[in-house]
Amino acid sequence: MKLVREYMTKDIVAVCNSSTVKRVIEVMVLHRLCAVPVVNKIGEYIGCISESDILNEAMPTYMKSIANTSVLANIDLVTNHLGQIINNPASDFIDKEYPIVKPDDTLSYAADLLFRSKRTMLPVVTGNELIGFFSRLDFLSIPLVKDD
Amino acid sequence: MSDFQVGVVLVVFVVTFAAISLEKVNNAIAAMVGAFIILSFRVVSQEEALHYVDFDTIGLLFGMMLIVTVMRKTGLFEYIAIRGIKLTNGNPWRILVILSLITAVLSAFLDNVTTVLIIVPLTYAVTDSLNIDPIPILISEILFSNIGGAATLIGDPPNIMIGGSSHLEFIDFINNNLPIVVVIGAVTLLILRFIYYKKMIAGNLEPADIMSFDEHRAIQDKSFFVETLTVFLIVIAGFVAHPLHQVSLATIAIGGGFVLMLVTRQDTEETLSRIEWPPLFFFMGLFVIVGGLEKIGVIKYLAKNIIVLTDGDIDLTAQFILWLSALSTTVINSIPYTATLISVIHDMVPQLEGNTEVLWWALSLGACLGGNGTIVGAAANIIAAGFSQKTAYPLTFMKYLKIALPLMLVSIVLVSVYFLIRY
Repeated sequence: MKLVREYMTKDIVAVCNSSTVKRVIEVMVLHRLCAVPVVNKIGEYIGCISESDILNEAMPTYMKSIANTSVLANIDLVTNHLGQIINNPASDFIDKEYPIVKPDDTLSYAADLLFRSKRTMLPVVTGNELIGFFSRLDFLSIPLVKDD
Repeated sequence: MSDFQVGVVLVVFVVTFAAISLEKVNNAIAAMVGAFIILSFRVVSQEEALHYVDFDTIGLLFGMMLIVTVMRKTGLFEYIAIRGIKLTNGNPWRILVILSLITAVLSAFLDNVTTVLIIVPLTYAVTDSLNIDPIPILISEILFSNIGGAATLIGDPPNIMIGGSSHLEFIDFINNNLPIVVVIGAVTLLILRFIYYKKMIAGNLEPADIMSFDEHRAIQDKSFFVETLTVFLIVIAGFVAHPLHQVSLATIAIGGGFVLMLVTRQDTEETLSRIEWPPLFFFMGLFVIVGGLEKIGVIKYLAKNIIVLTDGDIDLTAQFILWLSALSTTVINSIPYTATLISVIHDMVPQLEGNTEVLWWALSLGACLGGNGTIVGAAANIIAAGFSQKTAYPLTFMKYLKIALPLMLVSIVLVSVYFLIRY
């Protein structure tokens, strides 16, 4: 049985929970990640922030309630709102329920979780310690390694 | 009828009423459980329960929900709102006036909650792009949703209930309620102007932003739009022509709804899942509970005492019902209140001499306008205020009360005077 620990990416990229939204986006851009794990001051894993969490926050509430938003397409409402929240603390929307895997979980379990949760990557956590992440590509590239 | 059964009904009534008004339990669950208890103790029999449920009211509500569900997809409402906003040139006071008037007209034909759900988010989009305070506009929209709703038989749940259980026609509601609704609307705007005008036009205006709203994108499928509007207008014409054909309004609305689904090839599952079933069950349960009150004699007792109090004078009775309704529905839910009072009026009518129609208008205007008094007075208020809590400009209980309660009292005084002059 193949385990997550053998195929995960061991780079530890994370942001501190005192960071701003801006910092989170910067880390995403720099490391080409769709979600970033968040740790507290002493390095314990507390959750993740994904692109969709930030996009959700960037959408003004009223936009979500308008059935037909095409009438607003020519106004920079969302762009402006993103500008307004960029310096907010990231701690406001850490997803504490973000799915995680343990190093000893099987690849099948991790792949199924990626599929069901529609996430692109899962942090690998043991206890409170972040030890890496397991992405869709980590999984999909397994047969490639075998072929070599 | 044993004392025990009387006790059961009274306990059920008080507990459900309290649960609904305090919002401790969902309306529909409270009413249906209450009705179940009343049936279980055989206070009303199975046949009587069915007889008490006013299926005209429930059918009409359901049919209108169906039609509006499809209509919302056409983009008509967004189109109207954006067209209106563009007329204002970005002047905040004019935006308030236009959006209030659109709210009033829409809620005369749709239910108030739907109207508010359409207009309020658009209002926030406009005020956000202009960087102005949405609260005055929001308060005015809430007021006008209830004012506009009072004008027609289908505008507000109390009117639908009154229309369903009395022999009043669609056109009667317009003849009797519309004139005073127009007066109340005008007076309300006038008072709001005194309160808000200076405050509102003080800010920076950016008319260019208003012009970027593109109403032409709202209606994406022209033929779907035309088909839907045609069916809707036929349904309204059917309501107006009811005296000629005697087909019930519920039948017209339900028929219209399904014909609309047929013509515009709607997905059945999807459309029906968008129907708000909880209010329909709320009404059903409530009718049975009020049936229980009727059975144990409470309704008769209330009717008798109102007549004693007013000495059987119809004008005085109408004034009494008007003020009682307005003040009651400020704090308690107008739907159970109206259901109860409908039975009371039915009981009083044979005991009074003269034209008793005015009693229905007193109940209708009292219950519809009374809802304006507090933020919890009507479903539309609760929805609008709830929505605002998630934004940067929350509408608080007191902020609303300070403006709305006096305005509500003014509107009832106007109705009072209107009754004295007209009936």
